[in-house]
Amino acid sequence: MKRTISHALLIAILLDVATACAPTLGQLYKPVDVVPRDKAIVYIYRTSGMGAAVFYDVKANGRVVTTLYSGTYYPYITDPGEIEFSAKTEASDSATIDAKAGQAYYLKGTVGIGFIIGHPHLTVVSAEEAEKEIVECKLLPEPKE
Amino acid sequence: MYEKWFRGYTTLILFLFACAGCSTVSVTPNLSILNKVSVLIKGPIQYDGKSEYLPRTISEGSISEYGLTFRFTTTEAQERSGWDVLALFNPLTLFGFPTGDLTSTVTGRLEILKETAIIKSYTATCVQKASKGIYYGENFSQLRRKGLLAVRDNIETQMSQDREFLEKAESKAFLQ
Repeated sequence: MKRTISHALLIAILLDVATACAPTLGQLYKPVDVVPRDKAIVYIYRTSGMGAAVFYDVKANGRVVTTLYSGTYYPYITDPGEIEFSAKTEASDSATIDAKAGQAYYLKGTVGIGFIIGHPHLTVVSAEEAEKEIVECKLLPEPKE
Repeated sequence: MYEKWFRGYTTLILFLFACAGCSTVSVTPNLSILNKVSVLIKGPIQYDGKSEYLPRTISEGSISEYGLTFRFTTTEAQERSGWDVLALFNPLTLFGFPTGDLTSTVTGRLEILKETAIIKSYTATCVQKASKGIYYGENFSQLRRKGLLAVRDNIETQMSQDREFLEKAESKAFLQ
């Protein structure tokens, strides 16, 4: 009985710490109104689900773009070209997009099972699939420099 | 009794590992890769991706008097299937049993145009399926790259088999 209570307390503390680390989120998903003609936009998002307490940095060609939490999204405006998005916890994952000017892309983040901590998963999904899921995600703030 | 049960169980586990841990690659049409690739035809190329994915049988050149141009496009689709909830309660996960699959489909299409009309096109598709476990697995960037290279190689083979047509296409006889 004592052990069960201590386990429950530990989980509660971990969840509390994870929540405390989360940034102040913005509004629910709204597409970016104006994207410069010579740029592309990549919506990086993660729905609520398994591994909610796990969060990870998403990098674009090695540079941190945002920290992805459960139920959040970030609109990343970029120059056209091949961009490798990567994320890492105890294991890493990556997906590449060949971005074209004036186009919108959707990169979905999830968390899969890991040995100690959940593994990040990145998948490029179609607009049709993403638009159904991203509506429940909240905007992440701009990353600190 | 137990020995028989244990042997059967071990065989089943090994069989499942062998099946689930496989990765497959299929390229259509099914053709062998060329050992040596040479430029078969030259002209202006409409393509804004990485040059390493462009078939090496075509080369950038000024527009000829026969007005041939090339357009190369690629598309990709990614699909991830996971059985994470099941994996969470599967003790074999810790021993490397797969926790999900990645499927990558890359298609490349090369069109040869005379002014605005397509006179010939070559298409190749590469479908790759790879398993992922907690200690191993490829990512979509790796699968995409392998797929684009496989598609390039396949189109090169198709073009080399079509050498006669391509030679004709660059000659005056083709216009008459």
